[in-house]
Amino acid sequence: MSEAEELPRSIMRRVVKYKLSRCSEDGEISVSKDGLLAFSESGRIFIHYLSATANDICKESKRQIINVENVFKALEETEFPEFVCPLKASLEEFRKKNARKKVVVSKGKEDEPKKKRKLEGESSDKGEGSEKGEDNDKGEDSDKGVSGDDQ
Amino acid sequence: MDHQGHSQNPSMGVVGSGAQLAYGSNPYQPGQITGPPGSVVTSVGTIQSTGQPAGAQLGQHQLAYQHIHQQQQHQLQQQLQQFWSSQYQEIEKVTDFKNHSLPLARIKKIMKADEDVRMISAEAPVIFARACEMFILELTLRSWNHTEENKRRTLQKNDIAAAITRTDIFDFLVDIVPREDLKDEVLASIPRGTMPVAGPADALPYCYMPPQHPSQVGAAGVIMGKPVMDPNMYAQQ
Repeated sequence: MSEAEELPRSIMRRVVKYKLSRCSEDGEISVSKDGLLAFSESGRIFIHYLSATANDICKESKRQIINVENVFKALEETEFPEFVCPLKASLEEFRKKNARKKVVVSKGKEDEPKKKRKLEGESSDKGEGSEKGEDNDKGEDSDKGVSGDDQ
Repeated sequence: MDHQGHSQNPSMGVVGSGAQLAYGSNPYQPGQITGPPGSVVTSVGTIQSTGQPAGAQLGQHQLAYQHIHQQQQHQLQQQLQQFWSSQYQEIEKVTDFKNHSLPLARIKKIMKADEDVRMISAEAPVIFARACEMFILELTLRSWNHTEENKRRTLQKNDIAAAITRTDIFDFLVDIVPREDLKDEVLASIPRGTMPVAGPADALPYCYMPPQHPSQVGAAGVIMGKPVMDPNMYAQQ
């Protein structure tokens, strides 16, 4: 197994230590090196196992893209149904964050043409040719079209 | 006479108990020599007397500045209190302090390692990351139970092996546990009383019953789980 496929040990240590600190009140609990490696390997195998199950469910429903719903069904099939509720909650949180980001980005994009127009107006006042301004406008329109197609 | 420093902002430094001066400013005007208190000797040599009203004005100015300074301090304290109260409210709202999300790119790589997996939606790795984290937490808890049973303070690989062998839903992880560990854990997990103990081959059965002939046996019945036998049979013996 290549190291690129391994889960980061630092994060694994943090997760394990977090849980152990919650488990025992008295003192610090250490984790052996091979234990940490076993946790990392377990996580990797869990991802493989879950993705394979989700992929099977995806194929059954005659689709090519593994969807969130496929993952939830896979969790139920692999006897981890107690994970579904908290995962749905975290998914909602993720979607909300994404929605906020999109709003901010769209606002930024709306403001950009206004700024450009102001700059063009200033440059024309200073005595620059109006042809350049026209070219810029054309360029903007073409850019907008491309981004629209991408989206 | 023009007093220096009276036009300064009250936030500037106060020098001594006299008039307020800006840091770095020269307290002596060029072409002037200071004489006895209450007078300024100019370069020409004429002595200009400073009257009492100027001193009173100075006192009034100082009082005014002190008052303004106190007001500003009070405002600052109020702002600080507001700020910290809002901070405390935010802190109280936060319940989940952990922030250790697994890298999504790495999870995608692990998923793509399987040749059958073709395309993955953008949200799927997010769910996988969180699910994997929850799984590790669950495995940690079960492993810790074994560590505690053995009265140790270090979580080892054999604790994870024990958690895997004891829990049915972790059966898919049997490959990461070495065979020796697996055997040991299976033996350890089986209660001691359930193991069959073989006795000698020629030993007598627990209860020896003499061979019964059909003629001797009367109406068979059961009272409290025990067979009812004919008393004549005992007489014959």
